[in-house]
Amino acid sequence: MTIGTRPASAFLLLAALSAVPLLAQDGQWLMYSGSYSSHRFSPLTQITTDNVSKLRPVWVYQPPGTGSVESTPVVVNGVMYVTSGPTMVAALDLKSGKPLWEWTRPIAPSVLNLGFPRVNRGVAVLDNMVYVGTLDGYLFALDARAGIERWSVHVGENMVGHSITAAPLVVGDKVIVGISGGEAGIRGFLDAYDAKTGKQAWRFYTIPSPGEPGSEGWPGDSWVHGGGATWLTGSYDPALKLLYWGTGNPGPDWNGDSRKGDNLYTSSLVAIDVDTGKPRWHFQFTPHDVHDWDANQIPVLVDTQVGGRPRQLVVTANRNGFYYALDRKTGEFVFGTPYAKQTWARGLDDRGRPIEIPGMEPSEKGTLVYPSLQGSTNWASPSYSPSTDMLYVPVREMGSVYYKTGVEYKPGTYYTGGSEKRLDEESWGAVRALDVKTGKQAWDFKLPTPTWAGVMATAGGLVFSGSNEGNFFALDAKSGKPLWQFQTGGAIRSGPMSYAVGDKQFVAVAGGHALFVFALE
Amino acid sequence: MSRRLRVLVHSGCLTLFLAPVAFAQTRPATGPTDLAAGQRVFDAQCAWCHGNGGDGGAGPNLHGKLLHATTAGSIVDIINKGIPGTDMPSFRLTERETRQTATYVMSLSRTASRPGPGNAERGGALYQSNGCGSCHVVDGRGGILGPELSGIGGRRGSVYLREAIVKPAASHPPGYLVVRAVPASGAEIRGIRLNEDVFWITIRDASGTLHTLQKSDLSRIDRELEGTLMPSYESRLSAPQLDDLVAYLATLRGAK
Repeated sequence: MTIGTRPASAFLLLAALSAVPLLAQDGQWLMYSGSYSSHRFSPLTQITTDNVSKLRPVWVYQPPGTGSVESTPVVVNGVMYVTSGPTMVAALDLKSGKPLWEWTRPIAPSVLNLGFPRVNRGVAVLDNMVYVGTLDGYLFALDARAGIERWSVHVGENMVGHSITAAPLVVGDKVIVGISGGEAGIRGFLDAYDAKTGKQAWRFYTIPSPGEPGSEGWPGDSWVHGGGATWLTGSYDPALKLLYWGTGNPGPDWNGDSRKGDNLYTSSLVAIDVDTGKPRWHFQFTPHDVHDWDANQIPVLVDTQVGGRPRQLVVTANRNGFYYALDRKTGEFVFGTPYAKQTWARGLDDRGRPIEIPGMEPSEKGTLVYPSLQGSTNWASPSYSPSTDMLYVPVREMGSVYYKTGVEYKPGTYYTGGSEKRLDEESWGAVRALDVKTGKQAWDFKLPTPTWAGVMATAGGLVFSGSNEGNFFALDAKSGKPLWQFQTGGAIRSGPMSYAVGDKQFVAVAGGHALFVFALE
Repeated sequence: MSRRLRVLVHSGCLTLFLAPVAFAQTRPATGPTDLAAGQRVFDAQCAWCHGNGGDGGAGPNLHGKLLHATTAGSIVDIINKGIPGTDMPSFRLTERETRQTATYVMSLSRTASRPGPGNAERGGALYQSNGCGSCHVVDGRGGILGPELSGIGGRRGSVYLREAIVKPAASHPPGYLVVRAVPASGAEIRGIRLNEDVFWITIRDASGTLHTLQKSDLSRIDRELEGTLMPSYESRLSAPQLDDLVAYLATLRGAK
């Protein structure tokens, strides 16, 4: 199949018109999280619990340069698009695994990446365009057939810490793109651009300016460097026309003295009207966060029964150690419960606000708190299976000693006010299955170290994920029992995906500096 | 030192040390104030690797001649930029804190590694007669079960070296975690963990034999955070002999 014979827009139009969450239709994987609902669930059924032991590598792609691959590929119209660090896009032929084109954004060593690695985590595709953000803060539209630049826009000044590593999201005729820089004292925002021209449609600032709702939680001019980065792809409900986007930590990270207050909309989930860019509702997981617990996790849109009542939810396992279910229309807190070791809160009140334990703030001498700065989970994608009604979460069980220090803002430098020492030897990781209706643990598959690998569930009854130690593996979605594994030779810090060519199902994952594709032998 | 702290020191904790101490005041630093402020930063941010008082740990001992710096200016440079190719990260300090920390580190380096009471020549003979070389390499000669000691005197101070000989369980170095694997059937295997992933573990036992084991064949794996294959020499050496052995080890500033 060649590009253009079957425009991707047909599928995206379908999605826009339908209230049903878009799945990987026709064996494609259309966007970063697989669908607007971000289930990262493959409906393909060829690879099953019975035959997964016969899964074998069919090809490996090694991108140019030495950047690590943290990207989830997309497969649209018979072509795979994958990215590599610092900013490289490749279009790959699905039969041979060889590139049709490769596009590299030259990234000088002087380009800042304050608080995150020099990586890129994926693209969005619409019609004949591929959209990618760059480490130096631009959004590019590339011709999907040739990797030639059609337009670019300057999203944020890298000199003061703005950067883009997340895959953009295409909704209707807009490209939605978030920004990194929460350790550099940026004022976070989410942008929408016209997909054809690159003209800005709207910008939503995650930190309100004086007089705006939420500004009462920002004394003086603390809002100017208030953080709230939007560094991971969000989700979308086509029926409600709402985007769901996680926001990062307030600035400075570990010293909250200058920003006494709740610091909206940091460490929050914000539901944004896709037409106007205005927030419809917000939910703050960690008010006045002083542990760097960004809410930059993938929000998962789930329709299920809670207490015998059908609910339209957005669920998330947050970096702060709690699992939350919210009404995705209103933002109402439905319930929340801890899903990993945490020592900072007694629980959540009936509105979902944490009941904090005193004395858990970072201090000059150091304060031991679970979870660590990197949280009980991080940006690695969870997965929801409608077959099991479980959310599969990549979990990091680790504590840190948190230090608080003085801080002053200097453009283009860290603006954090502290540091951490991780308890490395006593830490571990897991793929953890939670009953989406209660947050209760169904099973736990332990890993030697806190994981950075995303998870994908499939209609074949499987859960795929990886480890820092290079294992790519398949578990039984019902029991967590391991059924297959392959050693990729490099840490897996990416999300698995699945697609089909003709009647054959493939599974892909990046490990180390390469992309691996598997199928049944 | 608490057990937990010790674990951290010896795990080579490569945390990204983001933005340590910074003060908003601009009071000019005087000598003693500078030194005290620098020590506070050092204790909170540097001692994890360089040891209490700069006596060495996962990072080098900072007493005596420094490997990468000769002046306060070059220490400032290293704090700001780290040392490429090593585990020394860059630190985000204000100019003032950087200068204060550098002042403190300079004061450490001027205290030449206090020459201990021991005699290095006699210590070298003890190293031979006690068979240390059967497990440790010095200058290319010796066994591989324990860590190489060719540059140990540059990396570790005498307090640490003494403790490692007397209480080796308290100071196992990174990469030498002792594990005990119990197969579902057959004898247990205890040794150094060379590698481990989700499904496999490779262990070198005390005889040097490698065992690569599939975890599904094991009934349990114990990680001995306090474990070591090295015997204690506390009762085998007299106090003066210990001084001599430590003095010998302190002279090893070889290839690394």
